[in-house]
Amino acid sequence: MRMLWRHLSLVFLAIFIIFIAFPVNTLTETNSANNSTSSDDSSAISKNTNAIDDFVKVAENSGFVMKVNKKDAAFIVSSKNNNHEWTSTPAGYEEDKKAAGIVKMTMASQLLIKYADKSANINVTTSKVASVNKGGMSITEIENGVRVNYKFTKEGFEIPVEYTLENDSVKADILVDKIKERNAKYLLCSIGLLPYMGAGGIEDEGYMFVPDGCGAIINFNNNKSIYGDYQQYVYDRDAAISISVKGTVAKSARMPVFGIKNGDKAFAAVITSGAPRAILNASVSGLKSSYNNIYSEFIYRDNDSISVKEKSWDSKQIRIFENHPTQISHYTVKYFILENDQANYAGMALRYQKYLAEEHGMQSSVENDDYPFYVNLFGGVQRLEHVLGFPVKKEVPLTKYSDATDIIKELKEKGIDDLVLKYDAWMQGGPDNSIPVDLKLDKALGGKSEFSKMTDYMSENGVKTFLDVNVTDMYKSRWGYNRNFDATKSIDKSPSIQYKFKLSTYQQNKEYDPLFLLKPNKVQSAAAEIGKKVEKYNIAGLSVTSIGQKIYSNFAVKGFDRGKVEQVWEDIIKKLKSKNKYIMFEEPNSYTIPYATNITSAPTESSKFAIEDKEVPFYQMVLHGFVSYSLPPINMSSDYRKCILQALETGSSLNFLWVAENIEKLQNTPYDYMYSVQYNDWMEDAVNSYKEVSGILKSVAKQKIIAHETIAEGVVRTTYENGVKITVNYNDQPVKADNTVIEAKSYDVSGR
Amino acid sequence: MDTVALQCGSNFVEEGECVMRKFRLGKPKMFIFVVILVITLIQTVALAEGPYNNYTYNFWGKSIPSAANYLPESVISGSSLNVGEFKNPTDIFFDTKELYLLDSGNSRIVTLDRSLKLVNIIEPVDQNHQKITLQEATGIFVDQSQNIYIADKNAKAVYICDEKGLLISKIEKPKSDILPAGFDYQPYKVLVDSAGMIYVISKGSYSGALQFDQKHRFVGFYGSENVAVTAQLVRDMFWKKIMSKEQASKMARYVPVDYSNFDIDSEDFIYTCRNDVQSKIGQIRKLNPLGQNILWFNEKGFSQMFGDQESYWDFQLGSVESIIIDVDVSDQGFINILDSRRGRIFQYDQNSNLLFAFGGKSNQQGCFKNPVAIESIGEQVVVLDSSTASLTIFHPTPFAQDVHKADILFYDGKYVEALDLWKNVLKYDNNYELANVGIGKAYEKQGKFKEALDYYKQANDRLNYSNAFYQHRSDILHKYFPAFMLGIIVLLILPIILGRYMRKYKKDDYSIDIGKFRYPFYTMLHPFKGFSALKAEKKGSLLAANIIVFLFFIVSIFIRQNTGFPFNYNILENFNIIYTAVSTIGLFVLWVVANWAVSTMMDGEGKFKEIWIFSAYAILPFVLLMIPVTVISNCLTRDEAAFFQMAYFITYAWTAICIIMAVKEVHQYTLKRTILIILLTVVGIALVVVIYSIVYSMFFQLIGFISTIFNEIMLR
Repeated sequence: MRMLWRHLSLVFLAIFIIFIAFPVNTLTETNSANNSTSSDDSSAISKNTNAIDDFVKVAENSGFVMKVNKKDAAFIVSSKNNNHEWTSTPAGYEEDKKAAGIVKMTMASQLLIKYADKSANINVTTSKVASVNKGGMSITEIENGVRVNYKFTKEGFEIPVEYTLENDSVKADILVDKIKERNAKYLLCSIGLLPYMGAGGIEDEGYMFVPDGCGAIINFNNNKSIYGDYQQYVYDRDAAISISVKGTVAKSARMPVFGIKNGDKAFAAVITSGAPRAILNASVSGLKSSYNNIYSEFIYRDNDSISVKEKSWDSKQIRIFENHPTQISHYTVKYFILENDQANYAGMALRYQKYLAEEHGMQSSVENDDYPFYVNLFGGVQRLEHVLGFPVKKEVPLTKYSDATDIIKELKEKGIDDLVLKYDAWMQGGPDNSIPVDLKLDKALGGKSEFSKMTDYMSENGVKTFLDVNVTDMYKSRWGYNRNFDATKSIDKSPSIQYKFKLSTYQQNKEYDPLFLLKPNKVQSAAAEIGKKVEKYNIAGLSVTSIGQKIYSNFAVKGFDRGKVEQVWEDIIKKLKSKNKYIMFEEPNSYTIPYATNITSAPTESSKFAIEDKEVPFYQMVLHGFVSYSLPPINMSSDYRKCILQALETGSSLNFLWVAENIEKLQNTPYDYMYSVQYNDWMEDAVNSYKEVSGILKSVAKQKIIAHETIAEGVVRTTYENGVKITVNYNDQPVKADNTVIEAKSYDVSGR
Repeated sequence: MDTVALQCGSNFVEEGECVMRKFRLGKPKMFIFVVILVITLIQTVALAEGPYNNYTYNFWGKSIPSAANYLPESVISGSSLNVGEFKNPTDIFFDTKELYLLDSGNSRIVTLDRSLKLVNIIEPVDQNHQKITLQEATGIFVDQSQNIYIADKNAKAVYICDEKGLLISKIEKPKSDILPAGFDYQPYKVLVDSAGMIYVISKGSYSGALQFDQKHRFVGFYGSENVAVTAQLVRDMFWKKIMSKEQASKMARYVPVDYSNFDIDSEDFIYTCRNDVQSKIGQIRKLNPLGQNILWFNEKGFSQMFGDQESYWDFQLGSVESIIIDVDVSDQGFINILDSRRGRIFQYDQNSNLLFAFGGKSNQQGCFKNPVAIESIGEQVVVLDSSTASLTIFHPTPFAQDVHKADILFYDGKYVEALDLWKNVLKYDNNYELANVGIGKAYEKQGKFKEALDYYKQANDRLNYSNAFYQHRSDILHKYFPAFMLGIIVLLILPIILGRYMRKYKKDDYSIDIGKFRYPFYTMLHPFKGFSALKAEKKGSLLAANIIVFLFFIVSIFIRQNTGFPFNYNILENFNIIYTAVSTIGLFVLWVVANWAVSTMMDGEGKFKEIWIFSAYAILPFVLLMIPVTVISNCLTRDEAAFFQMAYFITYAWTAICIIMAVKEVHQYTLKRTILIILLTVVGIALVVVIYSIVYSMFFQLIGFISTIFNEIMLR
């Protein structure tokens, strides 16, 4: 009986294949006329690659034409105004002598898939080898483009992808909900999309942009292939997958944007759907190939290695998989085409800014002449102390409510009028606590009366005050928010535990309590409860660092995956925004940006991957003119002057992280990294620096950054819409730039 | 008196032993060099600067975050200099003007200036101007007359070329009686002092560096180290005597350690490093012309543990610790060492104080795959990575520059001049212990002893604390001299009055029986007579005994918390009453139970209650004497530690005598039998502890087992 079913299903499958293969023929027939015409004027394409008459026009708009190769689904988008072309497969790739095997096949493919076999080994294959060459690919024409159905015959996967031409962009859309896995032996793990889209060759001049931290540039052919490829998870690795060893210190990719500039053409690729499940990959010519490429890879089904019989001689690592594939229905990347003076990273930033404004409703919340000074105060910590020989967690006040008022007063007296205050750890129980749904005030910090005195002072004096609430981290349980039951689960279904790690050995630091992450649907209710409670305080602003930075799955049976959680987080933020006039995030992921009014700690450095050549303030270029943002706390840096120069280069506000007293009590707590936060040590520096830069940066507050360039080693220039140019010299020697001498560690402002 | 270094070191020696044991099981030794880093890119504390952790170690050997000290400035490769990629570069050397890079795979030397711009490419050629192909060149040195020395391990020669690369001479295996038979000459690293003496490290030589004179004649070995005597060594020696030859041959062999690398400073002191696993302390040495170590950790004769002080146990790798493969001394005297395991650089000052730790292993700037050599150009640090064939240049941050300036002033004794710098260091990094010492020194010099003491305490610097306390104490004595004299007079008169009273009391009491509550004092003062009288008269009071045990507990807390700072190595704020209770009352109970159990088997006459009472009375000397001893310790400096130790000795001896007599009399044993029974009791206590820990660990194994099963069920 079972045999019969198997035979029957094979027959059906065969019929199905024939059925969907049919439209391909029709497509070729209908478009053959177009082919012959277009083949004449584009002779640039190498002869032994796809013959040009295989390309048929499938879409056209006022600026661009899109043509698709009927044989292997490669496509070309060309500009009508000039001879600019963007190709999914680099022309002449077959002549690359360095590339071989899978690398070469990847160049001819639109998809690079990873899948697991029965023994949980991860294998890699490409759409060219496993689908096109085996006759499993079919193309249907749709509005403004094509829909390509990749059938991986042996592996049993079927992945439909649509490539369409929009106004100034090419949209590649993986129809995730229509993906099929027909062979029970194989599990689809991830899909790399358009791995060689716009790739730069060995002769080309240009670079790739990666959103690593502030943003970074990888030059074409930079001879750095020896350092390995660039790979970075968008929004970090899913925190629900807990790690046992932490060996590297890296910045995060906070914006799902990457790009390629090649000569005077470029594109900015924005992941518009599925960013939380995306990985960015880039490599330069050298060891593997003669091309420089960058692409996004999407996790279809996540996996994790867990060790069995941990801490014994025969400990083993086994790989386990998510129960079900992702819950979102599209993985979409839009490749925004940029030409001529827009073909650079500033153009990419502006295009992303425009995208956020047009499609996510980002509006400017910045006024002319806005240049606030950011103060980040830290209330108190819980510290293990021994009272009469009994170990007790004791509350240590660092900045009482009255101290907060005093510090702000002092700043005002010294002439800083425009102030933004972020107040952390201001609640009872310190920062390492349960979900603070009751927003209880801390007696050790002064209690209710002091608190209302503080909020009254702030609102009377126009100090924008943000109280930080943490809606994800559970160090302790409370009613309704149990550390174990309500924790988000890792892939092995156990609560995901977030350890702290030793600086030296990278091992878990068991000295401090680990934390558990609240599962996403519970975060929603916690945020709602907090939103309600916060109304009773006289404050206009709420800071939600937690969900701005952390986005994680819940791999429990009825859990949400990260793709879906992005939506949940956005809903929470929208609701909080409706209640609070101002909302602040600290170094947030891009999904918060349309709602944020203030952003602190906008990253000023990248992870410094060796493959990268230069750091660029992409993050700030996206924000400027729309959202007020600050540097990371200046007093946490070892180089004060550099921070001030960075403020000028990136148009950032100054930001200090301070406490009023008991700084030595931070030792032997998880907050021992706050080693330079005594406020009176910094007061004078802060006031002087604010006076130095505020005049300059006020004049560009509501302006977009339209250009950013390195004009000499260590000398950068930022240009604003209104013509103001700020040139910063980071060098230890004076430099001459455009006939002006800029002193060492100084700057020059023109166009005001 | 115990020292800092030894205290920190002891636990690491323990872990080192485990490694040895593992080798004996036949695991290949190379295994330990396998890189263990699992690169997981996750975000760290958002405030960190740079692509790696910046940290230092505090007094207790715990890593604590520190302000960013060195940051990668640039990475230089052959292609970025337009000289073609380096091929297997193995060593770098900086001679005050130029940086020489030994590009051994290309048989050439690339020279760069101070700002790392290309100067020259030197290709060594022989007298016939034929290019010399380097086989496995691993060491380079350039002397004051620009002659280049290249150590080629496989060619078994040190090439000496002039500045253009023309071969002048070759140092091959010397013929000498000093060399052991079968000595394999594998020149690995080379250096030359200002007098022209040449030092060569030969791989696998345990006698030190080979020393050649100006005419390249072999002179002898230099700076050989003695075998470090560790507990492990002693134990292994013992086992070797018992074991068969075959077994013994499988054991770790003890030979003098060999140097992994060395460097020379402008005054001809040679700095050496080694990376053996036997001794974790003093891996870096600074040798004078006699070959003696003169690098100490604050106090002469004490050594620091270099590299990472924290380590952990891995079932595949054993104890995972730093592997120090190169040492460099900067013109300012700062010592940089390179840890190839984690790609880290540790910088020390001339007092072996750790200033900074930075670097790491990953594909980021400032991190490495296979770092092999380190040099400094002024304050900058240059590291050569042979895998990626590139140089990384680290630049000190303004914070680190301040530390350098302050430390140099400090080392020159200009404490007051360094005060503001140290204060600025603390502003940037309140965790930085050394700054507290610096500020303390400045205040001490200014006569502000009280403030100085606070800073020393903050820095856990007991030596300086003790010295400042000495001066502080004489200040106070001066100030309150009259009151002080009065106190002494009172103290002298008081015993006379008391004695008179006692005599009177004694007279009354002489014929009468000794009261129940006075008995403990009687047994304490007359242990030989007292305990037998106590046994005979049966006047032991359970209440008095319990009070003594309770006081024992209280006094133990008092000792822990109130011993003078120079002698007290407890972390006061970590005081945990439960531990103290277990180690006093718990130990007492255990003692009584074990003693009772043993004595019942050995015909002892003491009943359980009696043993309890007798034992309690016996520890009274400890309870009473330790209070004044502890109080007095607060008035002593480390130079007067002998008094303190003497007091301790008297207390312990007295208590021991009381315990022996108590046991003897309670069971009516002979002295011999008493000693035996006491030893057996100790064994009994040990047994109980062992059994308890076995049960304890089995319980956790059981829990682990259940959780594994649970996991398996959940996953299948």
